[in-house]
Amino acid sequence: MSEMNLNTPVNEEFPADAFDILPEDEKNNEFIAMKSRSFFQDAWFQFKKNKLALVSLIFIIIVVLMAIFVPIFSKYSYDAQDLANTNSGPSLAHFFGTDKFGRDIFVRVMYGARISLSVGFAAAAINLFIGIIWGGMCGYIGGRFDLILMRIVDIIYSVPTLLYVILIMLIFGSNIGSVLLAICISSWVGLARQVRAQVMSQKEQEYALAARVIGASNFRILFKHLVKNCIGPIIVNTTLMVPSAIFTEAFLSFVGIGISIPQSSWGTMANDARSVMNSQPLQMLWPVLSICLTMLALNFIGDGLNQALDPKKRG
Amino acid sequence: MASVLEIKDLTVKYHTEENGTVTADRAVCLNAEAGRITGIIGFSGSGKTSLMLAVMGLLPKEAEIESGTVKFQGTDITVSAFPDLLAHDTFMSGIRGKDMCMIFQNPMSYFDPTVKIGAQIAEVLRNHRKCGWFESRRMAAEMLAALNVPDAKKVCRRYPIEVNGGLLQKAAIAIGLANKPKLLIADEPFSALDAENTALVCERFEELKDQGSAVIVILHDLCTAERLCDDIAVMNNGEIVELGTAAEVMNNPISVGIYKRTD
Repeated sequence: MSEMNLNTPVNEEFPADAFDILPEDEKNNEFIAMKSRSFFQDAWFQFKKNKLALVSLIFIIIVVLMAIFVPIFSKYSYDAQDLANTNSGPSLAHFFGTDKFGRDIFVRVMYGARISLSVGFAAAAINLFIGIIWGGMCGYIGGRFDLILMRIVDIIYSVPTLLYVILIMLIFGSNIGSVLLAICISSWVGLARQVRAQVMSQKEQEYALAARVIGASNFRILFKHLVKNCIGPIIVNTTLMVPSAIFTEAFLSFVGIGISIPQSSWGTMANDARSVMNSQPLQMLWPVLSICLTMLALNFIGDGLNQALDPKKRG
Repeated sequence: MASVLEIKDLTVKYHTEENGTVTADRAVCLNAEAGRITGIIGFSGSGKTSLMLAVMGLLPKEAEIESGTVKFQGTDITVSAFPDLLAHDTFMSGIRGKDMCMIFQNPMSYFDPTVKIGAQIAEVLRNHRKCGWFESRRMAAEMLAALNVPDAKKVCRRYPIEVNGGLLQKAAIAIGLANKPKLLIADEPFSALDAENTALVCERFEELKDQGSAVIVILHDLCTAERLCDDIAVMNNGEIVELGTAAEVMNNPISVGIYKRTD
């Protein structure tokens, strides 16, 4: 059997000795020219090409570093009042000036960045976790299980978000925990729907069947193979969830039901600055500028990731 | 020789929207014996693949086994023999990949595009035995090397999209052979292989056979079928129209109107 005769005549035009196997050292074994890049290496390669997204990423990293280190190393604290030095303009001592209680606005903006960014990232992480598990199980199991779980999603979706948020803030009080709860309770449903749709299309692929052929457990097929194959849209969705959570937090704080004074978030600072807006417009500018730039940067990063992770969207 | 697989009066139907109910396999009886290679030949659409999917318990949800039994090592493994779907699934995932394994016909879509080849071969090992990460990777490379893959270690670190079809097919065959299953089903395992590699894979199948396993191979190339198989079944329109040893079937001048020997 192993001595398979390659010289069996196939038809009249090719005589039996037309072909012969090359000796081992003359064989041209396959040669792979392209350098191997993993999924994430390739995504990073594509992401780097998008300059706007790259600059935004650097900006966000700087903001995160400053939010961590400025309140630690600054000689001012976010809530220390200096009534001899209120409403001063920007100077070398106070980069952004001081507010109506003489608190350093630069330190307060950085402290606000801590709260805003941690709310944003924590909300995105919680949403990611719930969304993947909920949506993944719905898409994978299907049937009645899917029907019931998705109706719950529909119900959550059908009640206005602001209604929950205000109710939760009233019940649990104004602190970061309840802001997070309020944001998370409604925003994971979008991700869950998306994951479900993706998993449903991926599970029809042959590799999912192949994974079953080799005896992989359902848990493994779902979370190792299927979810990994729809990671692109999931990452993009999660990145875009960060700015929307920051925005919700800023809004809640601005209308006075979010983070409570003397803690500072960008929303509470903007609210504080309202009373002195006519005489000290700069005080309003700093938190608003911070919100705008951060939102823009995060959205650009989301766009960049969208392009990098989805080959169809590459220009 | 003992039968590893006994298919008895198996009827598989597909409920499609366009064509209504289509019978893919009609009252099929087939035995695969330990230490023998059984070839199934027949036209495309004659029900070969759906028969094998039914054996593995992997029919798509629009298909159902209407009647008949599939006995694997004496145990009925059709869904109807289990109290519910979950029990069937749990039982089957315990033996799939370990005692019975299947190689699909299209190697390009057999692999998860986001997982490296070596990791996917290692997965079948780790699903069924206690085997460390490094150990399983090393064995994956060895298995590829045994199928004459050059630079097997390098190939293991590549993603499925980065290598050619023949290599992927060999990797799929390596997965099938990995746990030395009692029953190996290969659905057109040579479709992307050249003559030399076909001969090599045939050798591996024969080694598995000599260890007392049953091998079922779906084939289109009759010459390979004649060389490789001990028994051959010819399928047409969902029925087995001819069944016998390779010599019997191949030397039959007219194979029930399906094939005719030309010389």
